[in-house]
Amino acid sequence: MNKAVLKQGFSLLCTAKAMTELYEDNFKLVSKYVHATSRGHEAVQIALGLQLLPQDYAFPYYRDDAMMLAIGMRPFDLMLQLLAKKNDPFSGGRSYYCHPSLKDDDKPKIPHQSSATGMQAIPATGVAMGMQYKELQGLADASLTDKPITVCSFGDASITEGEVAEAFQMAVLKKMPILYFVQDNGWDISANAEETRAQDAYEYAQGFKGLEAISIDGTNFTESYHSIKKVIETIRSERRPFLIHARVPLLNHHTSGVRMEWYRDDLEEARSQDPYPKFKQQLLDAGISKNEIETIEKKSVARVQKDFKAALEDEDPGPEDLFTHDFAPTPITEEVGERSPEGSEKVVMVDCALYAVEELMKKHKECLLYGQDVGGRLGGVFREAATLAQKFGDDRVFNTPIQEAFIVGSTVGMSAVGLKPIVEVQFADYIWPGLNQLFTEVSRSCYLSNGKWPVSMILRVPIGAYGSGGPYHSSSVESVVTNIKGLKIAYPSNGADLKGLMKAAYYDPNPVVIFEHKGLYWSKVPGTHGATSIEPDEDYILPFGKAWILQEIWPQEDVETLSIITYGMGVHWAMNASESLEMTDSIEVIDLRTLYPLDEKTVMSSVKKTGKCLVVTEEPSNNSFARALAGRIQEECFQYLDAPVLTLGSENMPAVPLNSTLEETMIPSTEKLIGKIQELLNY
Amino acid sequence: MSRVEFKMPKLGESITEAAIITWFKNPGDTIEEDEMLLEVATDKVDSEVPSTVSGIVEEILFEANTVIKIGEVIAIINSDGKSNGKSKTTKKKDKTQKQQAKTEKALKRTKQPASDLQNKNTFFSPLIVNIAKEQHISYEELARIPATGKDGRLRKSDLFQYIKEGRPFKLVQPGYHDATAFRLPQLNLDKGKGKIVEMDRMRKMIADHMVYSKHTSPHVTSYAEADLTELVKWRNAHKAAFSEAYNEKLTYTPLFVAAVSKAIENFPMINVSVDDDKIIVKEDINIGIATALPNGNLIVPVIRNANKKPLKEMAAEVNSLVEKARTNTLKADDIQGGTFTISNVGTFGSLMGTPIINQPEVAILALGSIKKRAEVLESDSGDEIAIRHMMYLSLSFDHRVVDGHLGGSFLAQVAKNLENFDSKQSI
Repeated sequence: MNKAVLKQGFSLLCTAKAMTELYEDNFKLVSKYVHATSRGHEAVQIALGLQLLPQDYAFPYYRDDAMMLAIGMRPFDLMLQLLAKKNDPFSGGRSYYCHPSLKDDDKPKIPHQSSATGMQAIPATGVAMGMQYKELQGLADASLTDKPITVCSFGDASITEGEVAEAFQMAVLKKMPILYFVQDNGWDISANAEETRAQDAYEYAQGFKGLEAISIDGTNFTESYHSIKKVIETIRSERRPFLIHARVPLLNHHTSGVRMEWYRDDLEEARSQDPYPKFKQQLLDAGISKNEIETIEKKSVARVQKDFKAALEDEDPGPEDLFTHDFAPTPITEEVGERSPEGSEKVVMVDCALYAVEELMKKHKECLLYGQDVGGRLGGVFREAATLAQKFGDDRVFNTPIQEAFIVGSTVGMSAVGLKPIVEVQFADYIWPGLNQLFTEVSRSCYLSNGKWPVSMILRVPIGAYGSGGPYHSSSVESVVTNIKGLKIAYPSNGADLKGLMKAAYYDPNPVVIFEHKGLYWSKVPGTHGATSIEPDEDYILPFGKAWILQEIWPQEDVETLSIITYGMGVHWAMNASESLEMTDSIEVIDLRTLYPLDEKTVMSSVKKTGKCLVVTEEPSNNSFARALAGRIQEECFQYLDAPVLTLGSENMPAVPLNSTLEETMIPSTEKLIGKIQELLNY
Repeated sequence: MSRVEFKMPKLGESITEAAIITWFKNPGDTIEEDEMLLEVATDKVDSEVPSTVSGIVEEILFEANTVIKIGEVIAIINSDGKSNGKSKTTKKKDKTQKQQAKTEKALKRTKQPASDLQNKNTFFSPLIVNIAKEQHISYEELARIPATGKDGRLRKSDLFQYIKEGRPFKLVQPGYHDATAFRLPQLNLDKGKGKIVEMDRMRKMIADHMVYSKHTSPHVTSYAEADLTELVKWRNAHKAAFSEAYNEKLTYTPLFVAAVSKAIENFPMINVSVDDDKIIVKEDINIGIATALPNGNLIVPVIRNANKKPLKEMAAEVNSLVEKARTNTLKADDIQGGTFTISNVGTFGSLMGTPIINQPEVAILALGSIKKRAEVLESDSGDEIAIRHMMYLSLSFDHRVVDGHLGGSFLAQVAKNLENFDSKQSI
């Protein structure tokens, strides 16, 4: 083995070890913020880190500080995050120690990943899927002699997470260039391997056909280095997934939040596995003198102490730093293009979306569409992706297995390699398995990476009740999603808006959820002909955050007036109700179009004009987006209100029942809205 | 259909019974909610009673002129269950009419006994409060506006309807039943063949000032007369010389001002203002003289420190102010700081007057015309009748702070000062 590599590796180990020891020596000072260190895991981490290239994507985990040193980070950089400093290069003081996200030219790319164990599997696999897509579409950098790989680092105790299985499944199914790098120290926090698993990651990998796995002694630097080298070379050339299972001892606390002495019964045995003396011996065996080794050690300790001093003195973030990078700026701010071109035909809403996606795919190779049943054979259960696979090929439009978490979370990785995925969950009712990824990974990526990794993706969600869809094809979920900050959310009421918003969503560098009401897709529900629109031109774009005053009225003094604030299906109920009451001149109807950003200005000025307000939603009203909006309106417009702001929604029952009478009773309707309007006007 | 027992309604807090005067409906007649069913009389007031439901009058249980206890069933109505708002969903063209009809109905309701004049629901939404502020409508007034909202709540449209109707007078009355309370009469203003003259700004200010004064101060007027024979003689004897000596006309006014300001020195509590629960006693005695402007409006120029000015100076100042008034050249300073006002109504030929206090002063003196009268004079040789120059004086004072004793004594002092005019004095 190359002496220089040995010395470099040993120096890194000494540095990592010195950091752990310094953190322990200054426990009170550094434990203000929780941290974990690599002590015991260093050798294998360094062996991997030294072999990664700038074109690679890595997902190091919270115990990987030695790996971070190996890819070129200084102790000072890591300590800035330890102390949650403003200049923490990963998160600007927003996330814990060793929660890296990095976009430096000279280092492997590190997209944001959450602190939740195992959740990084899907975003990482998304990166590998993106690498593969780019190679297939000719978008990859052909000048590279070494093709890029993805590395996803885990602790073995997180392999039990269900989402990890979704990731493995896809990696082997599509043969993706990814290395799952599992460090096994035998512990969760206080629960050990015997209690929590029937097999380790190496054994588990055997269940995934095509996931080649090796198990190595992670305390042996030279063995680890050589094994990893071979695996990486294979992935670079053969483009298929691998799993490395590395056995290591945990020599420091799980995190600074717990003390290992309280519950560990294997400390002595673990200490006997310490990689540090082993590595030292390997240096001596290679003929490096004791003196030189001592010099390396002393230098490392001195460096760590110097960096710590500097890090302590570095600037803290100020209160104003809270408010940056929740979103990346979008170039789409104005409505442009022809919304109702002459000679254009009326098109149902579902086709407006379809044509929007088709136009985008034609124009942008980075655009791809995947989800359940959207592939060529069916083109979506609502025919919302019909003919796209035929037009653009099975690599750009494809079916996924039934795994909503992967569908949603993989976009983090796809977006990280520069792609623009459009994905869908088949029904809003099935967004729940994907919600973890949406919340934990997608929505926070931009904010917690301090703006480095916004996730550009579109999640299409067919939603809403009509015609006895029953309890698992009728639910409304927008309140749950609007509660996730960091997402943009559209809920259009008609085809033209959907097309324009789809375009805006595509060019937005941020994650977007589009709710598409199934009852409006074909205007099949009576009274929803308004959802069918003249198809806007290809260049038509409708920015987010611009509500539509669909029915505008003059201020009137001696007549009772009101504003209906709504979206989606509610828009149609509102229009039908005001028409059948013949009150189109005393009821203003506002179609929000997007729930985030919310066009509060339009809403508030309407309510200030009319003096009364009714917020309409299809969701059960309690604790809903609509109720919260009603509260905001009340806060903003209190002095202008002549009646309380009312909310009309579904009944507050756990599900939309199957039976048509029960369904009708459950959800709002034009008739129910008429009653509510009268109640409010007569208030 | 349901049978509703119609009871003698509660007509006021202390009223326990009422007599039926007339039934407006006969058995078998249809009746709308809020339509008048009968008229009743109590010891306090006569009033019409509306039906509380719509339907058909089935039975009338008591003849007219029967006295009924409050709460007793007096009629049976077969209700059709329809409420007032039954046609809310009908054509929009009728909407405004409906709204008006509703308001009219509610207006009718207000003709009921005063206890019902006040809306029971006195919650006002923030919007209503804001409109009321802009329109200067008091809470008391808001409470009397016919309300058609839920549970009798005043809605925006009710309020604007009311404003549009010019804030009908009957609603501006106090809502509680007080037979002695002030009520605006229905004036039935009618131009007829006459003309309408817009008040100028000054006229409006005078009007406001007068109403304010009458509203603020309880006015009491005391009368006295004074024998001015000596004073008149002296003036007649000296006015030519005075004019020659000083190039100033010698009128009665400076002589009156001198008499009044000397009297005030003896009665400083006449020279005061009222500030809430405090009395401000003025140090200076500044006498205002009510003067007519050429356009007929009234103005009150002020002579400062009148008690300290010799006649010559006083005459010059009076003449100058009168001239300025006549030529509309009075300055703000000329009409400020008065502490007492004299109104010489005699110059218009009036025998006496009941002047209105010039706020924030507390008294005003009106001087009548000087007239020769046969007066009984007492002398050592017994009573004799003589021809004397007589003048009536009337003093209006603010009874909040000036009682009859003070007002009367002060007035008597003024009269005495005039009568005891030193006719030996030179000019």
